[in-house]
Amino acid sequence: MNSKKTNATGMPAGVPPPWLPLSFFALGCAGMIGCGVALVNAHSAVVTDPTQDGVVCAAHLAMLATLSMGVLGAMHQFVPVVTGKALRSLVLSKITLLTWLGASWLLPLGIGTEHPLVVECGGALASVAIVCLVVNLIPPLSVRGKGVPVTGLRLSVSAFIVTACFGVLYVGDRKANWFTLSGHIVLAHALIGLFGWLGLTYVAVAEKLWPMFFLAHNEKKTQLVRLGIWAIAIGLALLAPGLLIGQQILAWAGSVLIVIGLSTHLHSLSVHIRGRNRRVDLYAVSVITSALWLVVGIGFALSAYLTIDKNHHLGVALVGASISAFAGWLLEALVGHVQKVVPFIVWSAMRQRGIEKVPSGKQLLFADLYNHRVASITFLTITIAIASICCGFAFSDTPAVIISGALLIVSGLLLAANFTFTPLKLIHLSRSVTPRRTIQLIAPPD
Amino acid sequence: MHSRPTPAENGALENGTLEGKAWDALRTVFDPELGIDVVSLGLVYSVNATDDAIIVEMTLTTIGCPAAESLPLMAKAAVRDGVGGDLQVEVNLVWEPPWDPSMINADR
Repeated sequence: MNSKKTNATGMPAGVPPPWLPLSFFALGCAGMIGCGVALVNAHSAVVTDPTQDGVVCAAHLAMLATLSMGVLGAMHQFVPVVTGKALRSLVLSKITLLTWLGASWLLPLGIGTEHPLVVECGGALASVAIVCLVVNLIPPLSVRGKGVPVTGLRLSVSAFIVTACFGVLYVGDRKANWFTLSGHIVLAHALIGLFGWLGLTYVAVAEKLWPMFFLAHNEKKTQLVRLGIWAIAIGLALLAPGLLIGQQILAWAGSVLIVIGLSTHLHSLSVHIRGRNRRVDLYAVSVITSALWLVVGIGFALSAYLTIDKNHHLGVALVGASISAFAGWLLEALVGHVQKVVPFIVWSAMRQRGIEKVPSGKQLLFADLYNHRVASITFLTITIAIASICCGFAFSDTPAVIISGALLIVSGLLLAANFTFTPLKLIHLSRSVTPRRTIQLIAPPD
Repeated sequence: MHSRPTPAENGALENGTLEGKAWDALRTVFDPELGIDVVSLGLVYSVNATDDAIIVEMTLTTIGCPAAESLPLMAKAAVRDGVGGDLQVEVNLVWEPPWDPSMINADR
């Protein structure tokens, strides 16, 4: 047998225990709820001044506690599987989980409530989390010959480090006032986090997941994918300094490269969709909707650039809408993939518990591990939430912001409940079935 | 479409033969994500019975797919249950020819 080393349930030996990625995902749901609460709380600030602390708090809860938390969970699951090499240590994973949990809530709450000490504690925890993550990921990410997705992940982790360095610098600046934290400087930070860390991770991971989930195996597009990943990385390396030092040419060159990179990503998606061997399902709809948010985000960004000199308030509002749409791109994609990946992980965990069949006696499938109607409703609530927050920013519409916040709360609850209750029900049923089987076995035949 | 012979073409599916029982047993093993059995998916390349063993050659949809790595174990258990007796069941994972969706033979 020439397979890789596997454990008793058939999982590759390097795969972390199910609780690790699932904990990150569950905390990501909590982050989504927190973000919703923060948006409802800051609804008037979104309309009057999107740069106010309440809005910055909501944005950080979205970026750190929701998206980054989910992406970290995906990283811990995906990197060992794809590279075939385990993480350095489970202890480091636990420290990353706990310190990132602290950081992702303390930083936004400290900003929102204007408590510098809380912000500094959050910054310190974030630094520990990122050091642990990098040390943990170095062994698997050092494996050579694993293709473009792993290259993309190396770049995205590098961007995560850069984002964190910016963050620590800004935390320090809140106290020491080293420089003026102007809109361009803040935007440089946000874009590295959005596209360099979260975006590149998604672009890289998607190239491995799409062929599996669409059943669209296409070996001929590696060069294009490589071009896309490097275009985003180099584009950011030009755009961020361009924004920081106010060099428009540099910023434009970077923007064009990023758009080229993202276009190859969209092209790759269209190739997978056209070449798919499965019916369109919720996953496909989520991924396509996510791609639409990316296009909407680019549209808003362009509108903001054309508007900001003539109407500063509208320009800033459109920047807010653009960032929201880009975050929507990643959120929709993350939730869409969670609907596939969580059953994937839970299925293995159920097998470890000896649950291999559903009560009807059929083999346990991923589809048995969540309620499909609830998943569809979650997709709708998230999509409307993203549309509402974009409208809230772009049209300075307070009710839209409140609706968005409320729907994010509902979505976080639905997502967590859907992937918790169905497996728990199966575990409960299996426990109640087992004694009856035992009785049947010892009962004399008729 | 891949040219590998189907079990019926192999003449191995007559009821009662060990190979036939093994193929039938493999039809009860489903890819957990796709919900299609491994035979219809085209993942099983061959089943051969010797005097004391049944040897299954199968592949996976993607190298590195963690859930798919469970399939050989599930296939082994199913064949063992399906054929009964004391026969040894061996499931060999092969990567040549690589699987592709054109090998699926099911209504999706």
